[in-house]
Amino acid sequence: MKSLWRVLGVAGFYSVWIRRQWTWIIQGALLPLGLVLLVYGWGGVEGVKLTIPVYIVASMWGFGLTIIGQSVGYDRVTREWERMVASQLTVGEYFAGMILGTLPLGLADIAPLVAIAILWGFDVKLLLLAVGLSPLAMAIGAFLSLAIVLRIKHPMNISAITNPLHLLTIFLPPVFYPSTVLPEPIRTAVLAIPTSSFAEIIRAFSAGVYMGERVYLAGISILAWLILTAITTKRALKWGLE
Amino acid sequence: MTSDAIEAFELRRRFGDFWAVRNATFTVKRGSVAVLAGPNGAGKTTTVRMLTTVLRPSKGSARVVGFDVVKEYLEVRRRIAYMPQDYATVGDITPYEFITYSLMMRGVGYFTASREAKKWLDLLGLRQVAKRRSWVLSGGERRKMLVAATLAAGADVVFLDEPTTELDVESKYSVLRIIREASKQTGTTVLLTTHMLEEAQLIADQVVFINSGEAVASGTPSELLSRIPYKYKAIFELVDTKCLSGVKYLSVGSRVIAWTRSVEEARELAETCRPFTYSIRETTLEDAYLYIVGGEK
Repeated sequence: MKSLWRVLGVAGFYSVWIRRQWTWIIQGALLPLGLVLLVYGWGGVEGVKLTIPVYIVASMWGFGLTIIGQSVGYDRVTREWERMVASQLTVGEYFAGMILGTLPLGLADIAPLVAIAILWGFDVKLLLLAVGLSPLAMAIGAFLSLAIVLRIKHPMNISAITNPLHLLTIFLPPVFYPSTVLPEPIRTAVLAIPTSSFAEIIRAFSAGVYMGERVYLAGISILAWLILTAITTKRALKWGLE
Repeated sequence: MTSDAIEAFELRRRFGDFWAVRNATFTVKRGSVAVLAGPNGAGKTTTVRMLTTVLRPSKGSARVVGFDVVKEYLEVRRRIAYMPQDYATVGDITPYEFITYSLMMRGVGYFTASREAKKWLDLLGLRQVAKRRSWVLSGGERRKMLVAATLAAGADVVFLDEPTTELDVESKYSVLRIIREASKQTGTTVLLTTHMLEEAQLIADQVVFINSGEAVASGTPSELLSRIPYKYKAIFELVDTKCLSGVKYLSVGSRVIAWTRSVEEARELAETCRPFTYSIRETTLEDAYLYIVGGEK
């Protein structure tokens, strides 16, 4: 029970700025809605069908990469990190509370898209696949940013690192556009980028397109990223006794 | 069970080639208010960060409430509360929320945390601003909020790193009074750091002088004062210091602080030097610090 209170206490801290600056939630909801309209305009219903599940996974990747990384960076600059270390709070409770407290911001992106997909009668299996992959995307995004953030010696605005990294992994590789527009071997090489791999898996499962080998490659890429970033983060993450 | 809440033995910490703490050896008795005093950069914060298990000592050892800060760090963490120096919280949080969530983070249930928060807001005179966002609070009110959250934890040992920074005179004394009262009422051991020795003299049961990363002296304020052979100091405003030959003194611009053993000696010195103005005061911890750190020079 005490552990639960500790998690809720941390969540309380992290939810404060979202509760007070609730327009962030509106921003979070507007971006995917705008994207849906954009895709519908250019690609019709089929485009929207595919974009929604991809956006759900990409959004949670961004949540892990930016919000979690930035929160840890902010805590280290403000010394909240030290205050929490010197208490009963465990590192697991810290991250659980942080995710719980800031989750409304992540869900603001996803909720309207899920509603649109259901109302439009899109394939629920594809939605479930996207929702199922989301925690994995969030974890890899978080591990990647933490692996960088925790190695920064001098206090700085972490968003200067995480935001460009977010854009770089979301808009440059084939996430919201098909990888088929790229020539080989680039088409295969981009699977080394986790966001491309997530999108590729979703595309493979949509509309019955068979891309067996590419799905395996994407899966291996994701697994490799998960293991690599988790190990790199674990090495840098010191909950006190630094 | 040892009677000491904090035991530091030859504690050292290095950052690269720089030794921030070179030798911190001291003890703090249970239930006392101890002050780690020294100039900026003396190693106070690094010492506290080691004692609170934030930093690993490079050498030496320390125990808090009988538990080793490295080997038994989880036991230490269960028994301490820490307010870091330069700590800044989310600007949108209110003092009520800050104390409530801080207590919940320690495993206290919401309703108890809420009740305790209200109690401490009253104690520190923050009830009026309890629901205001912290970024509109004054620096002093913010600092009080942090002190309240730390003391409210009900920990065995409380570490407050520069708790009176940014406080106006009135708030400073009010915070110091509450720290002392809280310690005496609950038996909490408090270790606070400051570079303002008048604060140390006012609040401390025990003072540890730290200079250049080394704990150079430790004792009650009166014990430390007794280590200085001078009981008075004469503050002169004069041009020529030739008349002070053989006298221990310190020049601060056109002012000179000369230490004497008695009031009569100070008056005689004033007769000899004929300063523009002068005053005679009893020596304080500042003088003891200067004497101990600087020696007889």
